[in-house]
Amino acid sequence: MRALGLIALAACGSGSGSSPPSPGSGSASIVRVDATELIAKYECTRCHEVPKVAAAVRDKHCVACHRQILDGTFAAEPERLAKWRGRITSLTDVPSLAGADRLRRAWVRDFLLRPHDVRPELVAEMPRLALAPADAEKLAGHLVPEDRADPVDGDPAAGEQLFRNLGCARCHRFTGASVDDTAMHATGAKQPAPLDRAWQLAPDLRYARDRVQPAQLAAWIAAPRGLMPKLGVDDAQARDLAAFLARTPLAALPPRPPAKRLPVLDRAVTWDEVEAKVFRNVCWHCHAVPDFARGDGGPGNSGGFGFAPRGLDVSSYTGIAAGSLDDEGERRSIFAQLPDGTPRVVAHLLARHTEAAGGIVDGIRGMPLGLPPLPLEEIQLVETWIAQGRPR
Amino acid sequence: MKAAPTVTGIFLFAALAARPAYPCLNEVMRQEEAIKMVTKVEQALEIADYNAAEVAMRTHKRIHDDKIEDRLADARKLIFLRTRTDKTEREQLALVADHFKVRAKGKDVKFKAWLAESYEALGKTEDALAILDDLKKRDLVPDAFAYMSYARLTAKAADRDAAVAACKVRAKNKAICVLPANVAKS
Repeated sequence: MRALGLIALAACGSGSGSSPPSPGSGSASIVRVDATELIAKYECTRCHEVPKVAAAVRDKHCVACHRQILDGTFAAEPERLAKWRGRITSLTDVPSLAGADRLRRAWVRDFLLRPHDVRPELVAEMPRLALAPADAEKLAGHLVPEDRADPVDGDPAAGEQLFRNLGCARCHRFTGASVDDTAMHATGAKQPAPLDRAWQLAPDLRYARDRVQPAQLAAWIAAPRGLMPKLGVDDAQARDLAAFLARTPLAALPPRPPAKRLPVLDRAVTWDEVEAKVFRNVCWHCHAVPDFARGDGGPGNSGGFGFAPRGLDVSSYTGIAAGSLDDEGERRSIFAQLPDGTPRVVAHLLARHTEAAGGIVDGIRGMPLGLPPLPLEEIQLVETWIAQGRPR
Repeated sequence: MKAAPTVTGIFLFAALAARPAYPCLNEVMRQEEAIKMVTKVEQALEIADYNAAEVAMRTHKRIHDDKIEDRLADARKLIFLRTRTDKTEREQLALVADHFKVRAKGKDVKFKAWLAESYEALGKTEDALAILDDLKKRDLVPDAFAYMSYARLTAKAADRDAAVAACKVRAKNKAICVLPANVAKS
């Protein structure tokens, strides 16, 4: 692969043995690849802190903008700020990519191509970008220059006891594991700052064995970075915990039932209702009119996150009736029926349900991008409004 | 040698320092106010309340925002177009058509619809219908006025009735969905 072909070194050696985890020894796959241009193309810095890459400007920085609105430092009229503040539920905390070098490179690549919910308490998820596999590979190489597969020795039983004693379940879900404690986890939301934020960012440890390099997992437990509190464990205990996370049996997750599309309603649905409950409430943030937006009309209008401009403006009846730009740059109706008869906009909203269940709908990106699927009742509202001829 | 600050200079400096966002002081409308005003104008246009639109525009003082100025220019042209009478000069209507022809070179279909309305006013029925037929075929008719323009121009009674019906569904002010007597009877 071209990205990895720049320099790819694989060194084989013995495992880390009983020594403290120390990145730099043992078997490692090392790549030196610079994906700075891809980080710029996909605008990773709109949400993430990326080492050695400048943050996005405030008007394009989702997290900085949200935080400034919440703390009142955003330059806007007080009543407008108050209105916005009441609507912000996501993208106030996003994991820094400074810690991404501890992840497994292949996992990062696959996650970029098929993102899924790793952090159950964060509202937003990694959005499914229009990434080519080669771009995902290169980005993964940039973020994870050194990938060490050697296992860490440790006592899983001792690790499980530590897990329980330390109350890890207060912040972390560990779905499918015997130690997963939803009741204790629910209390985590009420922890004092900054632990309440740490709780939000805490990943489901189910994914740790695939997601994090074994030695790095132990190293992280021994000396966590970011908001994760120091646990006060020594290196041996860290290895026990890492061994437990990596080896404890996991039950399969119950399959998520497919979203059941609701029939159109019998009652009348007007633009005012569907605008207030769906388009302005959710979609408008990324699909606005650039003439009035403080920024650029949002990535769903003027382009962003690697997406070409779609020119979709859902902020007015006229705007939404004017459709969006297709791949050839021509206008098309967002209400046009796809071959199965589903209006295009409804298909995008339903596709988000499929994505949340682990699937992908060919040719249709789930919307809202990187956010939870709309409740089926809201999609039903949109579909009813369309079926009724989109009454004003 | 540095010049001593004049009283005017001190006053000007103090004024600018206190209100850095408004370099021309009160002569420049705040952008937030301008956005609210343009929104009000466009809402009035949507319900065909041209008097209210003009009243809202009277509060306007030019701001340094081309996009907002463009929207207001569009609004002025639309008011002129939709309040025309038999005595309206053709040259003036041609200027409106020229304006929307330029605007329609972009990807926003509402300008195409407004260009079609302009062509209708100029008696360029075929040109107007070509635009409206295309928008209708692609389900991209942006507003109720475009449906009525189509209803007034089409020769087919069934299409005319369908366009009036679509107008009634999509117009905020259903009163705009009434055909002139001579068209309705044809």
